[in-house]
Amino acid sequence: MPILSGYAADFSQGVLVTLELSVLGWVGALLLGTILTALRVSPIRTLRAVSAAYVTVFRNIPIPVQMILFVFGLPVLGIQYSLFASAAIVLVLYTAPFVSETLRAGLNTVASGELEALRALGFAPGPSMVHIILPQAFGTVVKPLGNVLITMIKNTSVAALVGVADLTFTSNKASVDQAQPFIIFGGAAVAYLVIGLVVSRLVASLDRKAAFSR
Amino acid sequence: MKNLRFLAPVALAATLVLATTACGSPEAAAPSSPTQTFPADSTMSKIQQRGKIIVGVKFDQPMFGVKNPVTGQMEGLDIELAKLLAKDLTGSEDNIQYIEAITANREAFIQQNKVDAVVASYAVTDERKKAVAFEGPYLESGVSTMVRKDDTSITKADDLNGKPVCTATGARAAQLLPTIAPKATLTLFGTYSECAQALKQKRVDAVVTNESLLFGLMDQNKDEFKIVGDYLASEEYAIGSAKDDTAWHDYLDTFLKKIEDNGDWKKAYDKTIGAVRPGDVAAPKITL
Amino acid sequence: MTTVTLFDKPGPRARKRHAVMEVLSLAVLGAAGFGVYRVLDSHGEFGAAAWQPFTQWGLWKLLAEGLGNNLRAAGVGMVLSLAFGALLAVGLLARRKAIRVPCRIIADVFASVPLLLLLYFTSLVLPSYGLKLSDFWFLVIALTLYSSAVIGDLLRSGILAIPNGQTEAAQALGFSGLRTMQLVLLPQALRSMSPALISQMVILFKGTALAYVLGGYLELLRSATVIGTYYSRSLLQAQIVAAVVFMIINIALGAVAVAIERRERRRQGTLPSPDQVPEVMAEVPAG
Repeated sequence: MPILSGYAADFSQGVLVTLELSVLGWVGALLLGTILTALRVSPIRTLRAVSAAYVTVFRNIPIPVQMILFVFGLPVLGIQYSLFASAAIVLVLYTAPFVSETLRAGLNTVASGELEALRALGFAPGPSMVHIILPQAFGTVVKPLGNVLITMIKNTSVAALVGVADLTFTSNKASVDQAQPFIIFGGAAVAYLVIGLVVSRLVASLDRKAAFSR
Repeated sequence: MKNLRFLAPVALAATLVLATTACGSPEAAAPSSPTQTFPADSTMSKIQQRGKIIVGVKFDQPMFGVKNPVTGQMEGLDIELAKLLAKDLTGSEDNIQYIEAITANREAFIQQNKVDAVVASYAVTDERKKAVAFEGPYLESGVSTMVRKDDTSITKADDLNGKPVCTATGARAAQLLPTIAPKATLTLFGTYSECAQALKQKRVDAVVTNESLLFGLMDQNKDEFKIVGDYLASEEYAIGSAKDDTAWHDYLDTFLKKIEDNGDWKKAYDKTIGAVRPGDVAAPKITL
Repeated sequence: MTTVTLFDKPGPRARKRHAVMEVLSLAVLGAAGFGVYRVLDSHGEFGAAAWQPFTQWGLWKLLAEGLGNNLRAAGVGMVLSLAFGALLAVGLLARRKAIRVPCRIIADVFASVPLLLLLYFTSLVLPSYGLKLSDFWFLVIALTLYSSAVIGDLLRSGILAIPNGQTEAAQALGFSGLRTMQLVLLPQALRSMSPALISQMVILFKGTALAYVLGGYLELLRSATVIGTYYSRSLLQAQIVAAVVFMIINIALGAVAVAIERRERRRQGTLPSPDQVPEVMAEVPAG
């Protein structure tokens, strides 16, 4: 396949960009999602409202819309980042609400008796949150969080909308230029499939460990 | 189907009503007062009898043929030429029916006689010459470079080296650039309006594509951009018509010559593309 | 959705502390809001020039046309993917391996590939095989490929959750396997999965915005961009209007999903206590 030889370098570069976006997006989304959850369960009404409003807004605006708005709309206000950074930021903004909702569902599974026990033992709210509740909540949500992660990896493709040369973008470009769309898109599909499989394996083994420690 | 037969008179009546109301609409009411006479079975006289000319134009190409999505008005050089054509044949520039021609269906429209002529920033190529007849050219153009108005660092193709340059995925420019300016970094978007945004926001320093498209971007972003340097590749726009209709072809050529001579072409040009293209441009020689 | 705050009623000292924090966070929120307002205002985003185009009826018509295209594509895509999803579910439950394994592969591949890749695929590959379809169908086919795979798996697990006795009863009544599926199992699976199916509808609707990449397909996000090209002063405004419209429709669809789930649980006598979170939305992260 001599036509495709030039594509191999682009392809691996594309995979790399997709992976970078995935890692950056996930770290950011976990951080922001945890903060949102903490705000959501805080005793301060304003903070709860802020968190709820954020989740409602950013979860319900489609990610392509957020991406275009961020890259082509916000520079009007002088807010402008590189295309790659913009894509990563939007990925975080969009994914964090899903992380937060999942964590909150996890928090609700921690038995209320346990909370009473903690109080009886004299734990302050903050430390008991950090040391006891959150680890348990994370344990029960490993699998659903894994699903959020897998969806987010697919969503990294939306970066192609703003010209970030990820796997989806390079596949499209190569197909347009080289007229071998079946092989090229097939290759990209396999790459996404492999990434997804590896991640779900990792999640499954992590889930087993979490279940064991529970 | 049998039990639907009773619907036939109803359908007929509905068609009649529609037809009469259509005749009554102001669009077709403009007086048809032909200034010239043609042989009875020629395309020209058919158009005169019909009372209007059917023209395939672009609906989405600013400065050439664009239907303003907000006001619904047709605008552009192609539209102006079509109006002149309608006036020449039927006496009024309002006797036109516009049909949207997209790049992919222009030959088919002509071959199937869906349109009398295509005036749709139609670039002459050998491939297309096999399928349709061309009249003109009425404009010379090509792949060009657009930069920010205050940018003096890019004046020719060579200056693009080392600069971020924007074009659309699949565009001819995307293939041309690596040979012309190998050190330019390409940013590819789906459409050119994104390229224009990126140029404005200084994400890229130049947009390279067909000049016709650049005109549209310059029109939409008044006083922000300018076109610099020579064409990276050139092309000519012409009217397209049915291949075997020589009388119609000759008429169209004569018409183009006439408007180029009497200044109508210049007026149409100044009103549209002349507003964004620098310098004084003479009408191209009619060669097709 | 009421929220448990995890800790029980605060004492007088904690209440005082909370009151102070409440005031503080309100102040911070207010300051942040004012900051955003200042940034917007200093760029004239509230000015008449930016909003003037919105007084034209044609502009709203353009936006409505775009939204109509999103809704149409999502609707047609949903109907098609319900049909193909049901077929796929039957295939996934087939006893013969020769049917089951290919169906499993199809379901896994199309569910794990990004929708945008599928859209690029349909819009590039189908025409090169002589299928001259409109952008609308490229979008609908991409949506259907993805969504059928997801719905197929949903219906499969919905069917598996139905007690085996029902199949046995249907067979005792002389129903063939296919009739059992069609008359007994699928309707129940559709019903029990309806909240998840509506979540899938939200995902589809969000996905239609990807048709922006086709350039020539006028969906809502593209409408906003088109407005921006004619009134460059109003680009941000048009985009925000589009975003808000998307948001409102998705919130409404989400509310429908929650309401249906409530009704479903009440019907089955398992209504959650009010402080329990409805899990539909949390379970199915939207794409």
